[in-house]
Amino acid sequence: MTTTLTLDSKYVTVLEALGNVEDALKDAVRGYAMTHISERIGQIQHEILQLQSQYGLSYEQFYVNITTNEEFVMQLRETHPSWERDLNNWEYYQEELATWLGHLESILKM
Amino acid sequence: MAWPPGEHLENVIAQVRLVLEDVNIVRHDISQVRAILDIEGRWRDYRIIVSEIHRTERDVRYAYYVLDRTNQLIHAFDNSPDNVAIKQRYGTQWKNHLHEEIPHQHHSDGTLTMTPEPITFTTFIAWLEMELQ
Repeated sequence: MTTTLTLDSKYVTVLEALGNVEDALKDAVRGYAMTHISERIGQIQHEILQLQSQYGLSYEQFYVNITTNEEFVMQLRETHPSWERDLNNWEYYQEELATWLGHLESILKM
Repeated sequence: MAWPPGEHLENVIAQVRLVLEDVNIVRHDISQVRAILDIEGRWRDYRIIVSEIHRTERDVRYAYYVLDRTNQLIHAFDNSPDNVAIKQRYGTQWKNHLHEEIPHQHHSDGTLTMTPEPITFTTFIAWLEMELQ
């Protein structure tokens, strides 16, 4: 899928002077997207690391335990009385991480 | 729940600000296919936590807590796929229902009981005003 963008003629003049307008725009958009995706991934990874450190488990291990291990859940209630809130946050960040890594991969392949 | 959930989340935040004191919006983020809301506040002497995750392909998963000053659980409503809740509902067949998000509540004595339907922030606040006078 492609989208047509409108560019101020001043920029077109400058970019023509620097070489190919289309290549320059592609580079600029790619650079912008990669910078912002990387920042987003960094923020998400920070949140995930905090949760992993708090529970001493990966998200996958935590999820398996809460759905299959009654003793683990009973113990969790004592140590982390609001663990369901953390589950919500953790799922959000895990799935967002997968989404943004997918975006990054698709840009890197272009 | 309608997608995108922006208006719903704004309504919850507006209600929170009306009902709770010392409100802290810890997380409020909406992406293309999911959204998270995580709020803390105070209601009388109680610490209140409001957590909702919205996903395009699944129902809302929520957790609403009432804690005391020492962080002990007074009451909580949630629909997490908690093994204790799954076993309580399905008994020996629990392994066939591993990922089900079952509406339930936690009591201060550590017991868990089912709720007949999912709880919303509005019904949670109504419960607070009815039960914790």
